[in-house]
Amino acid sequence: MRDELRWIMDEAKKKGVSYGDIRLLEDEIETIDTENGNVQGIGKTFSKGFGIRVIVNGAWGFSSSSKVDKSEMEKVLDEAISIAKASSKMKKEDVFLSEIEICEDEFTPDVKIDPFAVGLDKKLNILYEADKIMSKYNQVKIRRGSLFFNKQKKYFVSTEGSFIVQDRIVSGGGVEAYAISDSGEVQKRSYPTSFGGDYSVSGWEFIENLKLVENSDRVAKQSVEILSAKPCPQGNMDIVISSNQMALQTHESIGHPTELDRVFGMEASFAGTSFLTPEKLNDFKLGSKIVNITADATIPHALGGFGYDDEGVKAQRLYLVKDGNFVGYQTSRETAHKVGLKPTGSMRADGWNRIPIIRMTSINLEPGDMTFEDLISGVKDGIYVETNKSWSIDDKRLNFQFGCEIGWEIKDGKLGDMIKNPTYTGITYEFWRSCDGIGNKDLWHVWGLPNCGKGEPQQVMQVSHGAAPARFRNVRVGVTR
Amino acid sequence: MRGKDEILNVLKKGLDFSKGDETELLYLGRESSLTRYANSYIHQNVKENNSLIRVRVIKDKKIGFVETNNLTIEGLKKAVEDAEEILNFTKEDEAFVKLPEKEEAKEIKTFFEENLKVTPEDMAIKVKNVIQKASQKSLDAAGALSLDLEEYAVVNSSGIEAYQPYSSITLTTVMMGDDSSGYADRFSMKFNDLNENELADEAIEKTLRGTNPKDFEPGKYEVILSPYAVEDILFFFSYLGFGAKNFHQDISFMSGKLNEKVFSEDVTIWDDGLDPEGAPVVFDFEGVPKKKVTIIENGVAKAVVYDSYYANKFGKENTGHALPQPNPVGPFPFNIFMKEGESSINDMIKNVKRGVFITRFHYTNPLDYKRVIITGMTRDGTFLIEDGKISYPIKNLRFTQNMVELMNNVVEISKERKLQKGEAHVSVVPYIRARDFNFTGKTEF
Repeated sequence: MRDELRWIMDEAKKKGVSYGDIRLLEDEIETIDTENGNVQGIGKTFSKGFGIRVIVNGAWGFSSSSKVDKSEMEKVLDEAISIAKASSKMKKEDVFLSEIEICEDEFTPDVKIDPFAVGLDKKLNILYEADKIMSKYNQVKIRRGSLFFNKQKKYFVSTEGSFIVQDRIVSGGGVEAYAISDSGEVQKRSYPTSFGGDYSVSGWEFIENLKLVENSDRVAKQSVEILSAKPCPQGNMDIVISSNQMALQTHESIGHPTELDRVFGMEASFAGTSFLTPEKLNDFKLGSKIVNITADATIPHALGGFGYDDEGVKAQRLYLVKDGNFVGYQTSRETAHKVGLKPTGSMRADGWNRIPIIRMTSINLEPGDMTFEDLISGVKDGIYVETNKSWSIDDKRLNFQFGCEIGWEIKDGKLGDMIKNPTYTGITYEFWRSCDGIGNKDLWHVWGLPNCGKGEPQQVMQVSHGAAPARFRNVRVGVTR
Repeated sequence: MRGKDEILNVLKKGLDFSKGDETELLYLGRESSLTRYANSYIHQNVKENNSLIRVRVIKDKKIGFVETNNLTIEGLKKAVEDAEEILNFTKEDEAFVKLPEKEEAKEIKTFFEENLKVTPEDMAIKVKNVIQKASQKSLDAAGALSLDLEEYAVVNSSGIEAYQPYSSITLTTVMMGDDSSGYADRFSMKFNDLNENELADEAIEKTLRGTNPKDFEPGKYEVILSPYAVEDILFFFSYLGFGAKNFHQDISFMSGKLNEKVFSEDVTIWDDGLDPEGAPVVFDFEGVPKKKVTIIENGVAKAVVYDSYYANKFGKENTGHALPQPNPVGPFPFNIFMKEGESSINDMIKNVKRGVFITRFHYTNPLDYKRVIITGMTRDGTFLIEDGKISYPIKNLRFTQNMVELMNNVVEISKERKLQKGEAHVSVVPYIRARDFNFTGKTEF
């Protein structure tokens, strides 16, 4: 196959493209879902195909196919060229790409136990055991467990001479309990976090370390306890936010608005644009001085990590926010060239049939120096919230509102009664400027989010966020009916 | 496009490989072209061609699933064998009865050959027309034009052999001025029926009218919601409440409330996959013909939609609303209709003393699944209505609204309805006027 990939890029050059690349992917996915002690579904998915991207007459064209042979590659190349020519009739200016280092390399992540070599019985037993423990609670009417495994081999070859082969193995899983009261109220609790749990570029060892069985009793018990908890207080008060919720807070309010394609309006018709316009770069106080946020694709095992992005740019670590100041964007070769920045290795596609767009890697709130007790003890009257239930943010990423699964009052520096349906809302930069405490390295965890949506057609990307619990002052909470 | 005979032959070969008690093969094939534009030029122009088969094998009430895009004989054989391998590990599903049997389906045209002739140039010209209209008003245009040519087929061991080609075209645009934006979209099953000029005019009118938006304090206001926003709400009702799975698990707002009044008596909602006024699909992903289901009639909860699994489990009629299996969502209504009212949209505006006109929502998300409490933002055209007239544009607002209460607060429905493609279904929806819409926050633009 390597020869065919080099051959088609040679053909692209002969046909006059000013740039071209091909990505060939082999993808295998295994999903296991249980519900109330039964298998809801065990699914295996196999997918193979390639996509060719070209620049002709200064415009992009892309086509793809699941039929992998030389004649189909030639047909797809011709389609991509014809599409680029059509695009060029509506161009404002020619596309230019920033220079990158051309390389031939192979990247293999550190995976100890291939999850595809682990028997289904062993995988199911974990979910059955967790389910059995959760079933002790009569009010828990719906019990769910899920495991996810993904194995991928990806070839990237460009007309510039790059030839990169990357392997990737992802493992993930979680459990959740839905308690229903006699009056029909429904409350949910998840572990280790919501929406399918936690994910990592790791093998079966990651699932064993999740300790789903060991945490299932607490999850089920809490889902029942929430039913009789106090409602979330309403008003402006101090809030301490858990590590897994800070992951989503960082994702929505820092990750997306620092994507340079959004800033340039490329997502305007769908997900929106960004308040972080270019004149604010290096001249805008985005958070308090303790807020440091990085984009780091080099963190071992992080779901947003890799060796090279889908333009052949090597994985890297950079600051987006340094000492509270907005200092960086996530860029592509094309967008970086427009503003004189370097490509940050952020271009990824969610499959062979999709064009790469700027995607978050691992966007991390860097750890601070506080213990959890420090964070709580500094609050006279406030709340502590855990685990996302709902998220929404406006189309410039300013006004956000999050709902969490569970919360507790904080009174005079101590955790108090449990509260239900906690929500909080704010304006992004006002919120981050009010941050006066971030948990230390011991509380910091890289959360894998497998379902970040962006682009048209929508592409679902695996990203991650390192985060520790953090404290914010004078935040509006309790916005619900 | 592979065509009926080739696809059904491939699927039937898959049946021959199976050693299960029952077997089903679902084919999903798609050629998709998408032209995306922003800042008034085309920045993404792509084509994809993919076909996959989902295999479901059942033996002794155990069920195994495999999906593959390797459609060679070897690939198909391996997929069936892998599905059978899963049976060695899974438990019996006592609620599973059997795969559906063949039923006669109505013949409806869902594919138009003229779409096969559409070239990348044709796509670019349609987009160019939108961009030119925007430029004439000194506005920037962004959006996407997509052309999907699809084929669905289902073969199972109970005699189902169903095939349906499907074509659809969607054009969206957001026009942007210095401090305002306007949105419009159109959906059609024929490329040449899509009127890009009319779409551009609608978005331009909203953008120009939205210039210099004023700050506006959140609170409870009467609202008029355009079909874009109404479709968003109906999606959440469909996803959270109208399907049999959530209904029987007691997590739907309709659970335990059949034949009770749940919405205003002015509200009637049904699903009808066979009505050509919508975007018809003849059968579901199990090959079962679509049946019309009246979900809400004059405000009273009447029924939810079923697939074969939940119909058998609860002794109900299979209404033909299966998603590809396995699926955590359960049966889902794809073709929602909301009954029209008697007022024109202009009359509805005249009937508002002080309220808010909402063009569309952004980033809506449920805070409470059962009570259907949704939060989100307004976007691309939010206006204050005073004394029966749109008085001025206002900055976007956040809402946190119990949508069941909203449907109880409906006071007027337009006679105009729009064919509206949403996140997961295509609906036919009117404008609605409702009291006490709960705005809970605001933003800076």
